[in-house]
Amino acid sequence: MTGMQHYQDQHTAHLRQRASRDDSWLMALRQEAMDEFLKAGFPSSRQENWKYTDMTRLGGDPFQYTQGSAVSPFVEKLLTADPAVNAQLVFVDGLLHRRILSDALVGSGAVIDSLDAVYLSRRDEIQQLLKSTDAAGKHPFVALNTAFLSDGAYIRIPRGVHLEQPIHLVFLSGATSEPTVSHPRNVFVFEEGSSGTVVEHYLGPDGCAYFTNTRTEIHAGPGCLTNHYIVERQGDRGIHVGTVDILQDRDSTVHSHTFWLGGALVRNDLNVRFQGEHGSCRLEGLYLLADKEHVDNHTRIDHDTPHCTSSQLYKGIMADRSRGVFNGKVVVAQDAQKTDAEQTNRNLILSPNARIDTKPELEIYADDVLCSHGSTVGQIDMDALFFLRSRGIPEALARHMLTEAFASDLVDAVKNPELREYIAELVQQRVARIEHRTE
Amino acid sequence: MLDISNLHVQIDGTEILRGLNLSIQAGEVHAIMGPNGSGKSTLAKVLAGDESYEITEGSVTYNGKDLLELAPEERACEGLFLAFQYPVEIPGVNNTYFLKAALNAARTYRGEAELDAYEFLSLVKEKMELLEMDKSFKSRPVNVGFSGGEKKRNEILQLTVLNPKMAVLDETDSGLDIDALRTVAKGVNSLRDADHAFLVITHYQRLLDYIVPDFVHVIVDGQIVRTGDKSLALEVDDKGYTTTPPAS
Repeated sequence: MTGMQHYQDQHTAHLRQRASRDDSWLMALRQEAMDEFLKAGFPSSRQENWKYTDMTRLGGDPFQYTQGSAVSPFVEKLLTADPAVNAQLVFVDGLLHRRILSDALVGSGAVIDSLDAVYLSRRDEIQQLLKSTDAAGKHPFVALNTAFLSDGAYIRIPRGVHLEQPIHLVFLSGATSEPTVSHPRNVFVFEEGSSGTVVEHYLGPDGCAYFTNTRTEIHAGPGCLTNHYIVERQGDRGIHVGTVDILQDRDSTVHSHTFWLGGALVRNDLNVRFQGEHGSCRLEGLYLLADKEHVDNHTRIDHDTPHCTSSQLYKGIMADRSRGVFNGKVVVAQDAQKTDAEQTNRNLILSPNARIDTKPELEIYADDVLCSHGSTVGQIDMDALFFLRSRGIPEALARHMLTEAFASDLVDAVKNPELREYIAELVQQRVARIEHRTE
Repeated sequence: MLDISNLHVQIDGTEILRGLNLSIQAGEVHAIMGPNGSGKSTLAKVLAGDESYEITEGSVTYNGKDLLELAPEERACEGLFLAFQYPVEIPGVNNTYFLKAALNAARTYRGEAELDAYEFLSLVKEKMELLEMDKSFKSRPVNVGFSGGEKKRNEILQLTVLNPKMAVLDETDSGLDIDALRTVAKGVNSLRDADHAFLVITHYQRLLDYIVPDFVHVIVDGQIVRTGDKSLALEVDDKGYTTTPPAS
């Protein structure tokens, strides 16, 4: 695999550049991760977890790792034109571009910073956090992310603090015309009894090949309420791999909402682990694909402790020659009695050439649990279509209305009104672009 | 306004309409009665443009146009309306949003300006009050969780808001209690004038006490076998279809 030499060379250069400023534990962490990645390589479809999404092609693409690229006027325009421009943190190709905090946010006591800025100032804490979740990784892309660890968002919401306004993070890729790779690393800590909303936006220009390999770790403390959003709309040649790990302490509640609205090849792993009793999580995802896009959603929920509740609703809309994957796994440990786990995956296929692979998996080792799963694959309801047309609505608009309607419950579930409107608009725009082909 | 001539219609190889003739002028209300399977609902769906039916012979002319050549949405925009026997539930599509899309589609088709939000909402409010509908209908998804009666009322709301020239009501009375029946009839009658025509399909004479027809037709085996005035409905209700003598 010639590509591996390329990544190794880039890694050596990366370490050389970081050596003068980083602690030895951080340097060692990167080296161990690189060794792990080199051993594993890019996963192929022969591996069960990657059955529907072969990543070996990444080994052949010479993506450049950059340490600070100039932001082109085009990208600057993209940033200012976007409603998410008021983001607290904006990263360009993985590195902090700007940070704007309102007085209210600063006054709340919440820490919202670039990870690179806190390696030294919060050394012990960061070291402990990175090590605790990284071991859970065992995922070649997490290893690769750690090998190139440099920047990302660090958020800590202190004990008992309730943040009303969402914290927006923008990750812009493909800032230059070069094919670049970035490895954003995010760490969010919700302390006991706190609550807040964090939105990760991923975007990039069309026509530009790039690879975003992002990693987010969320520590949901006792009794906290965490709202986590991902709004992904990479450019039409962008490759996006995202791995989110959520560790839930006792009595914590996590709502996860993901919207996959672009990118040539997208793989997302969302892992939740219950580490205390009476935790609950709700995971919702919408993937809306067109052209030859490929989106692979993997969720895994580990019920390690009793009395926890998890529910999932993932919905996919596939047009043209696109391909979607939903693989949802729930593992209930022997001690995790009174687990309540429910999983639903629904798919709408808009073209005979589109494809969905849906695979629910339940592994249950406890005997007193309530677990269910279901998945459906369907097409536009012809009776509903005729009904709308019989009221004068043109066929194309009627199809768009029904497609949008399919996604509506996931959009309506967004609690913050401005965010809901923003996402509704993005979904609407994307649905309007889809051409319905019945033949 | 509407001329149906020698209409033959099949579905899955079975002939349902076998040479049906019917002519409706502006301002008239026609009722069609007939036993189950006689082709009443088939006629309604064929007029609205349901593509699951195959037309093997005959013609339908609507305001000088070949109706059968028009797409369902074009028929609607030309002023033809079908109140469905079984209105479809559409989760995720808000009732008001749907009504607005429908009304503005027809206005655009006719080269008229779209209604602004205020004009549209005033119109809907007026019609909902006429039909004694709860305000919550506005924000609910189309027909989802509606009772049978609520669905029928919603059909008549669409009828009154869209204000079509030619309305076909397919068993709008089925499943309605007497109060709902009166309200629905009030909605229909509010549109009756010299420009509007109605084709009312029903099993029962009862509806025709409230929407009084100018003509009553009896359909048996895909053909109209008798035509009369409103007294024919009473006769059918009294004696049934089986005793109806074939047309001479």
